[in-house]
Amino acid sequence: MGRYIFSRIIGLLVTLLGLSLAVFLLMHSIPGGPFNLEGGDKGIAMPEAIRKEILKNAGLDKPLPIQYVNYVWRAMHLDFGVSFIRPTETVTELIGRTWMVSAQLGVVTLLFAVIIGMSLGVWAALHQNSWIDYSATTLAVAGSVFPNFVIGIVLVMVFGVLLKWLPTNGWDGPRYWIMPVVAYSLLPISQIARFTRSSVLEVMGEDYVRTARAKGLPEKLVILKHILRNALIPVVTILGPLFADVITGSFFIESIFRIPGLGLFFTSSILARDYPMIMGTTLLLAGLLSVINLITDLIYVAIDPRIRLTG
Amino acid sequence: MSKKLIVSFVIGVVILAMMSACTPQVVEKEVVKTVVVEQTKVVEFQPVMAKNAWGKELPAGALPVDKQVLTLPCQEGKYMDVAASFYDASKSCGGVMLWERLVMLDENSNVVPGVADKWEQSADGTSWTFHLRDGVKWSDGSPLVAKDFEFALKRQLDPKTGSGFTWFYSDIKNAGDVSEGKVPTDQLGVKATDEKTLVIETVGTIPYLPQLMAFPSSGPVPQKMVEEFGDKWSIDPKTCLTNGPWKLAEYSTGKQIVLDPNPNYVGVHIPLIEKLIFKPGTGTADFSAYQAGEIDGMFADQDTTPITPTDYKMIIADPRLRRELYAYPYFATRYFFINPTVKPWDDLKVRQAVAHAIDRQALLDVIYDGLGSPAYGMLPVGFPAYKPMDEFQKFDVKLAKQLLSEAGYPDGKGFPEITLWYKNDEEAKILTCTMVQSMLKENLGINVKLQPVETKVFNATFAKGDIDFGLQNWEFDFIDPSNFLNVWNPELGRHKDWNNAKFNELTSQAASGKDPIKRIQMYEDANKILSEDIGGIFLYNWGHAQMWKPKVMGISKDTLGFMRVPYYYLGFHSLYIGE
Amino acid sequence: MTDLYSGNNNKNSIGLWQDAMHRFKQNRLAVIGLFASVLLILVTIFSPLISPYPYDKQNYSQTAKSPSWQHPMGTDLLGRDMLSRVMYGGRVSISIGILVQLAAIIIGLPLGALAGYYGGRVDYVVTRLVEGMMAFPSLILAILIMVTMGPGYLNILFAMVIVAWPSITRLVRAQFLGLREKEFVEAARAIGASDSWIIFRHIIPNSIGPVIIAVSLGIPATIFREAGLSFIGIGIVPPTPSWGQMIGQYYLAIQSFWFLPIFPSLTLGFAILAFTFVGDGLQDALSPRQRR
Repeated sequence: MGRYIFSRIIGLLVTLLGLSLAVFLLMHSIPGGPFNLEGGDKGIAMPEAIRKEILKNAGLDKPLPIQYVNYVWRAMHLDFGVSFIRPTETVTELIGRTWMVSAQLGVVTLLFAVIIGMSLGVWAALHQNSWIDYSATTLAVAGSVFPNFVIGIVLVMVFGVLLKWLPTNGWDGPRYWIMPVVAYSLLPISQIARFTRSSVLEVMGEDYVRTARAKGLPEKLVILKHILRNALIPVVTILGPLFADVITGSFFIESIFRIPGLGLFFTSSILARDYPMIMGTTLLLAGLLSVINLITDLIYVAIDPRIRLTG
Repeated sequence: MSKKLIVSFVIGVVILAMMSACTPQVVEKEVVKTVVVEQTKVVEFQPVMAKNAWGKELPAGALPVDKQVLTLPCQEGKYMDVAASFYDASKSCGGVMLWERLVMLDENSNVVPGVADKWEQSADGTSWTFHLRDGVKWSDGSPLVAKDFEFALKRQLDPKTGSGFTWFYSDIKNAGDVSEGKVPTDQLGVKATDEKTLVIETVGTIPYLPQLMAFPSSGPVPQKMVEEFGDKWSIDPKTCLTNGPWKLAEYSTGKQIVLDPNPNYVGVHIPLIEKLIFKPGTGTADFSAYQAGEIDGMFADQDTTPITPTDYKMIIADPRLRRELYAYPYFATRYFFINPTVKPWDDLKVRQAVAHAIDRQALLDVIYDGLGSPAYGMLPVGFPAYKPMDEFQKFDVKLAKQLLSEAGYPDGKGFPEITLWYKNDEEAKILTCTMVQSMLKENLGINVKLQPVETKVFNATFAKGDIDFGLQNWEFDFIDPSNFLNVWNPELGRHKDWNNAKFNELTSQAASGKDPIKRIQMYEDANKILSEDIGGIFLYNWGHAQMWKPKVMGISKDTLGFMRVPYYYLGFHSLYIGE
Repeated sequence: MTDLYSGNNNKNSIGLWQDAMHRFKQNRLAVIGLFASVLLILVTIFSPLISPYPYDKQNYSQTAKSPSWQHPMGTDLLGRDMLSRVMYGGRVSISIGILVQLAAIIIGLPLGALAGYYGGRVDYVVTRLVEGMMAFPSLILAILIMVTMGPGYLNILFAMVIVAWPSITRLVRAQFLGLREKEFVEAARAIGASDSWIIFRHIIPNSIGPVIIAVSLGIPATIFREAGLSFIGIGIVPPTPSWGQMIGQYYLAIQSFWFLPIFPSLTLGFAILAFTFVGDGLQDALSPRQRR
């Protein structure tokens, strides 16, 4: 087991390295640079001396391979540079600040989705093919119909502008969380609910459930001790990737509700050609995704000893 | 008395009590100064009007001092220091209001005193001298001297500062050489001859130098703070010294930027608003925030939050919102630039045909609801040296068709597909190009391929000279024809493909010309040449619009009757919150 | 589970496909979804013929008009008919959804097959590649690609394909890995069948089920992604309409010109729903679980 984890971590680092190179090259191939050296909107180019100075300060005057090596070397010491666009903050500070917000949004959304989704799924499965089942399933499906940004827009209009019950943007407290979390969680709720439902149904058809009932166990205990316990395990396994999705895909919600999170910052970093931020954010997100995948795989093994780990 | 009567009486009393509690009270503040002043006045039985933090009386109808707060949207930049890197600084988050310059501009763009109370040009026209008023201080109480302005300008032109705004000061002696690193900064033609006098030497006679000095980037900079704290000096309230009416109270990046009264303000521009809260954002969600009441205004003054054409349509369709809208003409021109050295643009007739095929009024009507004027030349309507002259580019489909035939492409047959480049950052630009594409197809039968690109990509491609047909605008920086026309002189400005010898001669000479009347004449002629030779196809001068909640009062009105808050200068100084 | 061959000989046992189709037909939602999807596809293919106006015809006297008989979905800021634009936009969005998944199969099937069947070094390289791509959050990758290449139809096709191919490859590989050990494959080998015979006649038909499901669920996912990218302005750009782009352009106008973002939103939701029902139906039909 230890060896497995070790080899996975090595693989992770190799992947990150490869990714960093790919992103580095991609980044530098985008036309335009961070500093409007050719004069920005007014189109009046900066004098040569100033251009040289700016590039020197940003470390962009060296040839690309050297820049890359410098970056990797510093990154290994956990120094990810200073943002070009916010030169008063280091990339680590900036990412830390915005990442906190995105993580909050992600965690709250996932918690909400898990609670609602699982309840809906279990409820629907236990009353299979009744009106409860149909309405719960329809409700669940409805959540996957509209992209979350569409739902977000409608919520902002209705509750923010027209009714003025909730703030339209920002992330200053629980009140600000309500609309974004609701909009963002609808799809995960739908996915969790449907998966839970089919998982519970599958377990319900298993022999040991029939045996338990035949033994005379009260239905409630059957549900609790046998059905739920076995049905929820597969659901846990999809939570890993779901969590990863939710954390990294919050961009649209952040954009509509103007939540100062990583997704929004990443896009504005790309548009502003803030190279250190782009590299830092990509590495963080990719690293996070890989770690979540690793943990998920480990959980699989822990739960179901029949699965063997392949290298 | 019956029970009913008692009950209704009680209810009535309660209601009356509630009503009286709701009406605004006149706050009586105790300011020691008041006593001294009041003694000379006739004692009348009047409620004492509130005085704000600078000792100025609030006008009638104003809410109490603690309610004089404005919450506004903004775009955050690198830091507040507008004197280091104007375009990159958080200028819309209050950066332009913290430092009062030597002079300022009023709502009619006239130069008025600022830190300097007197200024004059030398007899030979080669320099300007500014005299600072007595007693000016920094917000920490330390004295403000002319050297602070000298330091600020030298720093801005120093290559080590990396400012992209050095071109703005190219009229100062040696500015060009300093910014290119050819000579050291102390050779710059800016000298503080004593604590209260600043002398600025110019390249040629520059009548508009005071305007340059009024611009927000020309403010003073506290040398010791910069030297000790570097870039961070302007984002930390403890080190950000200001000399304007406000000081920096809070800079929570991404959350809010707060300006509080500066008790050490010495000057004539005393505001009524005490506190300004700026909320940084991305610009797009601002309108819903405004409607929800989370911000008090939306202003589109020189590349801060613009109101999009869609928003605009919505606003004018709603009577309530319409009352909160303040629209005004703006000195800016949107146009197509062309490369007349490549086919098919090398044929003057082709350029003329395209110019005549565009219905500029339709553009204005659809995009700006008519707010603005069609443009047939580079100088905007009302600008010095502007003369109406539509004969070279006016909308005339028949003429356009005829010219295109004469050029060898009857009904557009055989005309190559041309690519139109533009930035996709604003809806107005996208709509303009989409409409023109359709107009050219319908009126001339020519195919235009649209090439919308990201701003940086556009700028990079343009700088390389790779765009043959593209959309650009120019917004004014100061009121002088050179600001607009130098753009078309390959040596002085950004358009290098259209190279007309006479135009270049006129603009170069006029730049340093001494005789103001002759100068204007030269710019008029140059403008005519540009229009006639179709170096650019000019589209329109669009208007700007701001929105302010009804409670925001004191919005300045200019001589033409347009009301707006000129954000860069003294616009906020006259605002107050009222009923 | 029965395989393909018994269907021809034995009238009493049902082949896999017939069994699946039967179950699919019984699933009402899936059938509705299928009809709706086909309808959408037809409408969008023939939109230039059946739309009431050309999608790019501007009319400055009819700007931003509310829905009416002449313009059932209203007009936009340049007077263009929204119904025509929504139809044309469907063309863009749906074609991207379908083409991307097709491309993903074209790339993913051979790659995954080779990796899963032959294993060894080929498998190692392919798996590392797939893992590397999947370590990258798909949205971020798509944004990065689109900003580098610029907006436009071909570019967004490219970006979406890059995002979609890894999961198909991984799926195919897993299928091949599993099926390669099955008895009928051993039997075929024992008879002396060549590798390509085994792959084409045995493994692919048996593995195609999950792949079909993945692809059919991938279509709405791709439509969603394209809508999102166009929404923020880096996908399909004006004047070519796409549902996401229209929503992004007009969502702030929802108060006064509600019809501008609402109709594209409804159509987008309808399309995603329809394709999702089909995908769900296929999933239920091809891998029955809830037998009672």
